[in-house]
Amino acid sequence: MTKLKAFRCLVFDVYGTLIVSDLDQSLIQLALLTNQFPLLDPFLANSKGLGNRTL
Amino acid sequence: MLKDAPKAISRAQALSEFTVVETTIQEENPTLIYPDVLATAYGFLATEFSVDRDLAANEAKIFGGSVGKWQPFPDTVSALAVLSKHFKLVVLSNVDQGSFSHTRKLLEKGFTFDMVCTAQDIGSYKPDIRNFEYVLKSVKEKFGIEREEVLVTAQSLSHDHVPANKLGLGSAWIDREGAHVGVDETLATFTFRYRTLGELAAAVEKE
Repeated sequence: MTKLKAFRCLVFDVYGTLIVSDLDQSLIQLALLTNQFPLLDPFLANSKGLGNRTL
Repeated sequence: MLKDAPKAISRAQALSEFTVVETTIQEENPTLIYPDVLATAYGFLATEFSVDRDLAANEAKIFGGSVGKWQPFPDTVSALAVLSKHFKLVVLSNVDQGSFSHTRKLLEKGFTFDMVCTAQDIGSYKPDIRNFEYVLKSVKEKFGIEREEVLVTAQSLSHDHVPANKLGLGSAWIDREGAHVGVDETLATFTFRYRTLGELAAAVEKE
């Protein structure tokens, strides 16, 4: 079985792996900041804030 | 506000369509920096969903500039500190250096990344194989690390594990709960699978 310590270097993706890159979570934050986010209102209402995306 | 958005869209639909638009923009404009990719993608979606153009343009700009404010998962910072004791830690991201300069301040608590490679540096976006070849060449030159000693550690199977498979690299899938994009297990194989980075760090400490 392969051991993790057999590796010397971890190459990370960041957004979605280390950072909550979730589109709807970000836009919820922006919606609060701008108080005007008509595009996303319909799905923000149903959002659980867990929609990770990777960058 | 709902009156301004004639088409009701679901969360899944919005995320899915955003990803399609974003990927197309990245493929057609590989040197466009990420905040501009986000803003452009938002503009396309706003048009598709019949949002007022002037209002959408303002929102698109704000959205594009938001990347540096996105927050770490609860397990991330402590896990990175543990992992930094055992491995070189390298970032390979589709974001730009400017945005990542803000993000790294949120992550580097008691350690610093050994190398940061962005799409802006490389001139293409993941899952382009060139991004991985770039980082493999860089860690070999800087640290003398061979490709078989590199473990790609990522959530997205489509953006990271597929190209890792093509290059024969080891990979750890951070299978975050609630992830929506890049989670189709038929897309790629992986060497390890953990629900969080904290689980990976704990597994390293146990070896």
